[in-house]
Amino acid sequence: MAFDQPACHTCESTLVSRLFCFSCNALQPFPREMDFFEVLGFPVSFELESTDLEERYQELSLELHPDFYGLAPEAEKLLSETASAILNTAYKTLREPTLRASYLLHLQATKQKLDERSLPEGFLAEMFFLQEELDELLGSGNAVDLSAMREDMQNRKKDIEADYAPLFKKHEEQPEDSGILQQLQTQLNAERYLRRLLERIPAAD
Amino acid sequence: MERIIGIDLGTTNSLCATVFDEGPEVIGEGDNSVTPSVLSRIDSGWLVGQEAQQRRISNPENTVFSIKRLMGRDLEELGELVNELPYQIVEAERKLLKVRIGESEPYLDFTPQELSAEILKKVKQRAEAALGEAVEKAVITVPAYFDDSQRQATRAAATIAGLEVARIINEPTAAAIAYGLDEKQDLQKDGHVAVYDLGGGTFDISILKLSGKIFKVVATHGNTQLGGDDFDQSLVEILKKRILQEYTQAQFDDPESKQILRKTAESIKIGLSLSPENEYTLDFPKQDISFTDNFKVEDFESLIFPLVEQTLESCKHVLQQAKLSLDQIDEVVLVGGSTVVPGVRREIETFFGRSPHVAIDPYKVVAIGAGIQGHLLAGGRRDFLLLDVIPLALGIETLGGTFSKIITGNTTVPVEESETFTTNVDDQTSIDVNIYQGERELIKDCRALGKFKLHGIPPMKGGFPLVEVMFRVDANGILTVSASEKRSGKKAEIEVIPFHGLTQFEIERIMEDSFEHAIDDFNERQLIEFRLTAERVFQGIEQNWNVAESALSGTERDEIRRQMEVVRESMKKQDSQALKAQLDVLGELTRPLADTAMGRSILTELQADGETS
Repeated sequence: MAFDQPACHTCESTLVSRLFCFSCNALQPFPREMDFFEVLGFPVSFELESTDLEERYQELSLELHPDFYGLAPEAEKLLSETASAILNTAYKTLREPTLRASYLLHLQATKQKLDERSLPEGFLAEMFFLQEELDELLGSGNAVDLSAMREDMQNRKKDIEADYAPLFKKHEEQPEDSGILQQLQTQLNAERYLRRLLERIPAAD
Repeated sequence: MERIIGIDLGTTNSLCATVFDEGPEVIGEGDNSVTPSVLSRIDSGWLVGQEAQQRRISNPENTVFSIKRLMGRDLEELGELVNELPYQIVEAERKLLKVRIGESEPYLDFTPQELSAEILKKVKQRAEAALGEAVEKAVITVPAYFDDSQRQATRAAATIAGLEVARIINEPTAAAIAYGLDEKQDLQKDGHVAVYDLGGGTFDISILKLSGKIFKVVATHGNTQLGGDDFDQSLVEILKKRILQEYTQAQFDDPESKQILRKTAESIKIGLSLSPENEYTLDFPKQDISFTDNFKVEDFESLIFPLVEQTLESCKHVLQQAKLSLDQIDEVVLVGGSTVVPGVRREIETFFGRSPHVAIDPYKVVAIGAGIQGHLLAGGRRDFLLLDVIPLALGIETLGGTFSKIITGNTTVPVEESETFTTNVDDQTSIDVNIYQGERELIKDCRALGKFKLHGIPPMKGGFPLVEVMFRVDANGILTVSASEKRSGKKAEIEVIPFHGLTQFEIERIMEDSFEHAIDDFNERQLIEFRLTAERVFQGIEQNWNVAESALSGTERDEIRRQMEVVRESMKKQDSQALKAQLDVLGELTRPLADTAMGRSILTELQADGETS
């Protein structure tokens, strides 16, 4: 759909990012409602190479940062501050797999009401049990057991994260299957519980 | 091109730098490039820098130092420090600290912002004299771990001093720029750099990732109340104990004794960096005490070990935050005067398992980095970019005294995040929100930055209005807040009341006051400054007279003696410019002494005086 492709407001070249035109080096008056993929100029998809993301972020930072607009008119200075702030948030969100999954889910679940608190079966009871076990370990200060627990939780968290990509791919293939997005929501919720638990375990020296 | 200088506003010393045709360098030469961050009150105003430093012992109640440790803080947070400092500190409205001058009413009270402004004014004047042009804009450095109040206080100080702040940058980041852009340094241009910055009053550890043109801060940690001053203070405690063993009646609580102890501690510390033992003598003439002893470097090192250990704890912490292991750190850079202490340097080397970079003077490196950043902001170059972070999370108080983070710590700035608020009762038209900064779960463990009131919410049913509050942290790491009501589209009015800072109105009032007094004060201040300079020059000449004996002819020596008498006469009169002119003549006469290394310090002194007028 060619008309969807945003164009530069001065030279009309096709824009990579909604924030800046690399053809004529102009800051763009971007719309307030714009997704983070548009900000960084990537297709809306979970698949994203971290090196590509890093490179694009650096390219854009080197153009947008307020440090380069010290002598510019006030309006342009302000635009660069806001654009840099949005760029930083977009980059931070898309870089972390869990944040990216959660953000993408939020973008794609517009037509469908998700149960936002869903958890895998038996998960909550298990978490209560683990929290108690952790309390005891913290009380006794058993470093070996704590370290084992940390490793265990980290592995479970990694397993969950590994599910994001195939689930989003499945959703792309079967967009009408509403169960897939709900499944993602459930995984994300579980990840959050594990993350909180991990935050309570003091890091190893 | 307009010039934006870089200023390192330090706890003990302040200095500035800029990019010259030959490259970045500090402004001024030798001792003349450094302004001690000390000020001393005289009838008509402040003496700042070297002149004030001389009065630390003779006039302790009126001589203020380590002012950076008071910036943006309150009495409770200062703790013991209040008793250790020889000058008086009081708390005014909104927990604002003030330094009190005078033994009885009417007192003169000054905020740390005003006092720092005096130091900045002096740095500005000296830069203008050395560069021969007006200086209006500056990049000012702060410890990376400075929170919003401390940054705001620094910016207010600059405004009061008549400087436009082009950017506030973090000290370790400035140092990284200085190293990273210096072709002479064999620093890896792609990799992780740890910057360990231990100054007079603050400690920071920052991890940066260098890739291509970008210097990105990954994580930062620190302690804004830990530095070389604490080494001195630990030494002071030992000195007291030693004296008490011999003189059981000794008293140390008066400002003069405090200063004598502190100065001695400082010189022992410096002496021990050069030799393994330092002999010292403490004279308290009023108590008829003269105490001589010596200090061994082992004793000093075991004394400061707990403090160094604290900094290494921060290093461990920052590595965790950066999700890096020790072997992923490619380079270590040392910054700040306290990293000159051999014991400190050894501990760092052991911790990181590699020898740190020290080639750029640790006293100058921060100012140089700030000068380079100023050059970039002025449009002089665009071959690098600094991406810095806010050190601590920003958020608000929510139910039950919990701290709800809106922007997390170590987030790259600038950044903006919004949060939606609503009313509790029908027709409520204002909401109060308390803002905090910190990394803990409960607001009682975080710093209260201030509160804001949202006014002008259209009357609606309770819980119905949607007030979107936008929290923005700019590239200086400073927070601004704006708000609008979503349903009506009305911009809500917002009033921010800082807890430790000055309001815009207060800053303007201070500026007006200082402008009114500036003209009357000028002659008198100069007079006192020139008199003190003259005394110092005399001292220098006397100390180096043996050099003059061999380097100068009899006639030349007579001329110097005669001119010294003329200067002495001029010192008794009230005309500052006449005194200055006679000092200049003395300067000319002693110029040949500069050819010998021994004489250099006298000449620097005389030229310093020539440049500041």
